Amino acid sequence: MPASTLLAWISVIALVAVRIKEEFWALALVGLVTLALIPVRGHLILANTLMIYLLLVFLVAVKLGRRASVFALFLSIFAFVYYFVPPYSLVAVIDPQYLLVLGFMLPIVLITAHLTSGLRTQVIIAESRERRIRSLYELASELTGIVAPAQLAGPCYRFIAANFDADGTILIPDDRGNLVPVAPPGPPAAGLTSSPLAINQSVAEKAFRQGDIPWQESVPHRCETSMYIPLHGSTGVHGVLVLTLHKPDWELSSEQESLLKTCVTFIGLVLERLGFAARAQQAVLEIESERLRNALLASLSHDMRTPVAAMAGIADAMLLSSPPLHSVHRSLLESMHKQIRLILSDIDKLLDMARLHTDHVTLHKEWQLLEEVIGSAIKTIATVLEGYAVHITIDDQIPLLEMDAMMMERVFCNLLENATRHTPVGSRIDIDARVEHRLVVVRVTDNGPGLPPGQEEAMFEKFIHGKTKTGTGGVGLGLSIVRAVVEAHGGTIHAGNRPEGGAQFEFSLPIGDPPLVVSDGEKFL
Amino acid sequence: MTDSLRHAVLIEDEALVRRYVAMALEASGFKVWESETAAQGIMETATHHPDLIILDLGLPDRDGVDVIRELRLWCDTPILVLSVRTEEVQKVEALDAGADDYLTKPFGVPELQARIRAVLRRTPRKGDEVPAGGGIFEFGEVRVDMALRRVTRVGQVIHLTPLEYRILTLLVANLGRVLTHRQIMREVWGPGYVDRPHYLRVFMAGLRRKIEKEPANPRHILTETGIGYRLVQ
Repeated sequence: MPASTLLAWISVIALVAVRIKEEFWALALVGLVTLALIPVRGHLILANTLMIYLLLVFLVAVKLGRRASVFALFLSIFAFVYYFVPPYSLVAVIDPQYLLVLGFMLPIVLITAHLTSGLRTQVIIAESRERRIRSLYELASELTGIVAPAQLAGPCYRFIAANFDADGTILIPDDRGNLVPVAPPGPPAAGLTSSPLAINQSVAEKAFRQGDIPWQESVPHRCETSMYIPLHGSTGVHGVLVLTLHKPDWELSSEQESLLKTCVTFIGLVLERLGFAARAQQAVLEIESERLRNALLASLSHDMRTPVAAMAGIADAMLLSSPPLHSVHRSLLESMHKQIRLILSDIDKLLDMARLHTDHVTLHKEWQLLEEVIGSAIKTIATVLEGYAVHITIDDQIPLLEMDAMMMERVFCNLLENATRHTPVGSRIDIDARVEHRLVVVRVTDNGPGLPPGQEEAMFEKFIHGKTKTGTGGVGLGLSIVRAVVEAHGGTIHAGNRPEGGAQFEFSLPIGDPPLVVSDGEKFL
Repeated sequence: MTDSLRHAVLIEDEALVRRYVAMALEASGFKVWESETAAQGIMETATHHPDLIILDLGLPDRDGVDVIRELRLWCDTPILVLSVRTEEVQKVEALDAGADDYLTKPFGVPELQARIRAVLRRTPRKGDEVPAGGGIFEFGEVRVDMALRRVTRVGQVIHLTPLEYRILTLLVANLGRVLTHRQIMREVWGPGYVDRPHYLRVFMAGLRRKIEKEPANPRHILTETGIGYRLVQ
């Protein structure tokens, strides 16, 4: 082999090696095969030699791609003609016979290279898809067990760093509604969030307030190198994911975008679940404490009621003793009796309240006349109403109302009693009932000092009572019982002051579908 | 009391309540036989043939309503039941089973004595006419003449429908005693109407408008919420 040829080979190799790796390998392989075949060229027929080159080009097509294989083909034809076809000179190269070989082999090489490269691309895509799915699966399995938002941070930030070449920060609203970042528990892991992210609070707020628009339709809010993505659950936005990109001009591929959507939906749902869990736990706590309180109320008042009721009876019986008591003792006994009655009425309220708040409040609803219930209530607390002028105005148009008469009687008793507690003896109490827009509206008003402004709603809370005349304070349950009963009947209640002075309690009850009562006609006696 | 000594059986498990009810009964001229349990009370009743039985509905050994049913098989002594405020259903059951009236604890001695008078009036000891006074009965400004079937108020004739009149006479015949919705419905409308108490309410309201000065704050036809009605003089 002439030295010039060798030199040419080496220079071409060196030239190509620095530029393209695949072509360099193709060149090297063709060179090696040629060097290996030259010593035995006397023993091989041409067809076999050609077959060896064909195999080589085919292998290059499979392993190194299309460009390298075409390059290898040309090199092979050249080497074959130059080194193996007598007279071993370039003359044979231009022989049309060998150009024809080139013409046949070129399509084979191209097709092979195309097929294998397609296959290879598929494999690469499949591998990357698998990697994504695996990381999504890992994220999912890590997030299913978490019980606090802080636990969300670690897995999510790792996932985002691994898949998007970005730093993630989840912002969730705190108790006051401000968006605060979720920090992973413990010291921050090195390299994960190395620098504190600059978060634009107003953009985050905007993304958070975006509300009901599903993320798929909304444009992510971008600000500098960060994306602000609202985290949607089925009941609204639960937080914002901030994605701070490492490269400013970076765009998401369609695959990454769908991955991001899945991830965002997933975090949103997890946040929603955490919210529900927290609320459920809160509710359970409240129910438990409420139940405990009511059980306590019930047992206390029941245990107190029996002896106190007996005391009232004994005081009464003592009044009957013979010889008759001295008038001083008599009046002392009478006032003792009165006080015992007051205690009993408070115990009854505790019992009522406890009963209203048990799990199954059973209202014995029947079609009742309001007039009858009011009359019965006045009779029940006749002793309390002594000295007060009670005026009752009832609209004739009021139909039968479906209600629990006992409970509704308590409503009137408690409202009337409340009025007597806050007004001096001799005051006027009005009960006015009328039909207004498919509702029966009942107003209980007095001409006393009225309610303290701003306290109208608080009066209905348990154990709250306004300023009373000395010595007439109660347990502060009367009005909360009133509200509970009215609401159990599908009604509403409000307290306020009359413009002309005095307190006004107004409640309304829905008019149902009262049954028809057949009159026995005009056959008067 | 000028009557000869009357007997009462008191069945009540709470010692304090028993004590003061006994005191009140004795003050009204009763000889009281106290018992703590239903079984003992039934035995006392059989032994002493009392004029009155006072029965607590919340006895430890037996259901009060059951006791009433058993007593009513062989004795028609007036029964006054004692009960607590929240047991309306039980009270109605007791009354429908044959109890004559009820008292809700805590009750005052005057209330107890008034009830005793009312239940004893209904079962006079020597077969007196009810109501006394030749079929004429008066309460407040209202006068009911049973013979003439005429009702007047302050001298003015009141026009009542036949049903209203029947309700009124039923109440008059049971003056001072509670009547359950069921009892009134059965007497006035017949057994088929007992589950429609709203009929009674509407007619009662009509009756009150004609008889009472202030129908929403009645003086005579009183509502016993959840139980029935009572006419008082």
